[in-house]
Amino acid sequence: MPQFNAEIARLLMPLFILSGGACMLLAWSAIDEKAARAQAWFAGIVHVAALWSIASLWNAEGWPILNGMLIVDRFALFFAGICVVSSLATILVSSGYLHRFNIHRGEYYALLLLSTAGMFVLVTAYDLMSVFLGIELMSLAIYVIVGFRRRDFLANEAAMKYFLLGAFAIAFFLYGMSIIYGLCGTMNFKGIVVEATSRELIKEPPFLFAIALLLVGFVFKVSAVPFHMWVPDVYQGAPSPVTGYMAGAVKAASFAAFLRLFYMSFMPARAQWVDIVVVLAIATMTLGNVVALVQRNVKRMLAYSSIAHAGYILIGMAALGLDNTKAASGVMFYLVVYAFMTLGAFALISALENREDSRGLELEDFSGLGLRRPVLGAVMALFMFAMAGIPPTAGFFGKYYIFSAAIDRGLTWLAVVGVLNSALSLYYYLRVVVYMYMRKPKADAAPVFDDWGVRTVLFVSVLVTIWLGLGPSGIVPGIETVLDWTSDSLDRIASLR
Amino acid sequence: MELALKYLPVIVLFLLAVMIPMIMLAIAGVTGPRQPSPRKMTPFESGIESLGDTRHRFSVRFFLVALLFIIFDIEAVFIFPWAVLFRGLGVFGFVEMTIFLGILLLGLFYIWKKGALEWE
Repeated sequence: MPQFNAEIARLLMPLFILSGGACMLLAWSAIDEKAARAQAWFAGIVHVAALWSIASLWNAEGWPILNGMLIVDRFALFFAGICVVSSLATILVSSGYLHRFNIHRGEYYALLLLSTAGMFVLVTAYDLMSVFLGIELMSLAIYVIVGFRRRDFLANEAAMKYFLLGAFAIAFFLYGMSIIYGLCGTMNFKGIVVEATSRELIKEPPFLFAIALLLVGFVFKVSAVPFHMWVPDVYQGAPSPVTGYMAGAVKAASFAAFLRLFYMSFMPARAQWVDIVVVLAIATMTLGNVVALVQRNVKRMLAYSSIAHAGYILIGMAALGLDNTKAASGVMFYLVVYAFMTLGAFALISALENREDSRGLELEDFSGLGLRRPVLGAVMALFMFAMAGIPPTAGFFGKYYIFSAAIDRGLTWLAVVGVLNSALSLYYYLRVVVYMYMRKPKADAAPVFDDWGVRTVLFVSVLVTIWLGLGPSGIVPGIETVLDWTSDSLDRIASLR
Repeated sequence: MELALKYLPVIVLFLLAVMIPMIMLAIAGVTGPRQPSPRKMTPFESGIESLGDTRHRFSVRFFLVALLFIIFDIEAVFIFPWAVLFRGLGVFGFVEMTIFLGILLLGLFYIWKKGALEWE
């Protein structure tokens, strides 16, 4: 008999708000195609409502609900918060952007809401089936918004590529799920770990094969090597606000499910997968950074940088695999920081973009931005410094937590590789700064379309990047609370195990 | 070694599955008479004369209709088991299915408004 009551309805309220809002928006955009601006407002209000309901759930008990399909705990709410905030920022940036390129339609916001609803399912997932459902709901909507510039060649290529490869990757994931179900008779996170330890499945080849297949699915979604091929093309072809959303929210949500599943269910088998994650981390960081060095297109450069960041986070995953809960705090902290840095950077890129096609900005388009628009130049420089990990920005402490967690578990050499990679990345991040301040503005430089939406996103991102950068040094209070939340929710996951 | 023994039946089955068709093809290839004629080389179409190439261009509408059909196909997949268990599920099941159908109807409304159901 299915269980459903008012308490469960309350716990799933953010999901109901997001998906209900999406349905209403879809019906509205079918009736009235001209009301895109009003629909953007509506989507924004739905997001604020979802955010409010997430905040009101903060003290929820955090037990599995719906026969162990979902769990609404602080860990989930933390990531759900990141995803909804990213989505809200995307709406703020998109409105002006889409209007400028004449592709402003209500469906865009409906799809964004659906995708955020999928993320909520993904971060609250407590069963492989809900992980699958969440990934699909999140991705299907994104496949469509990636190709939102329907008449553009690159956008079509990006959407098609993302869809085919994503479908293929999820097939691996499903295969892994089916093997787990065959071995354990359950797909519940707790059920898997109970069965795997009591029946000594941990060293069985099919079990390890299943872990590997599930890993493939996650590695694809977080865009790590060797399943990174789609990233540059998709990030370039997608509308710029969507690119920021993909780099910030999709990555955070996928890492949330990745972390929970591996920390909860596959911890007893960690000797088998930690080494794989270490190799993936090295390959991902190195490839991302080395290839980013030669990119002239800023969107492609940031796509490779996004791959490299996934590599840094994988270091944290490896340290977590060696049972270092501090590593998980590091991963969570990094994902917040990265979401804000990348949303800010892509908000600015969206405002600068003025071409009809989706080729995106070249480095030359940044020439003299710092002289032309000093504030915007300084903001972009801040994001670049933060991504490179220079103190006192938040990017530094993100890396610091992850690397120190790795050193704590004897992965010193891995941390060294990470630091060397950060040094490497400095070259291409600073090149943007060099173009902004040391080149003359082009004579035909287009104006910057920074409406209030873009400015709000930039303001908040800058604030968070600086606040989280100063916080750990004790200057600004508040950061300890973030870290407390993260370790708190991890203890909870471990206690459920 | 112990592991290999455990999975031995699977390996044997796999090898058999590969080998049997190969052997059959080989026997047919070696022993079968071979007298090709133009009539024999035409693709088999239920015994009637073949009507040209199979690589036609279809109107995109067919694909659209096929896509929309899948939605309602899946709806049926969910409704049948629900109908069987209707008494046991009670009011909860009824409300749940109403919401599900409502969402699907919304989809129908959307494609209708967008003109996807118009043939010309």
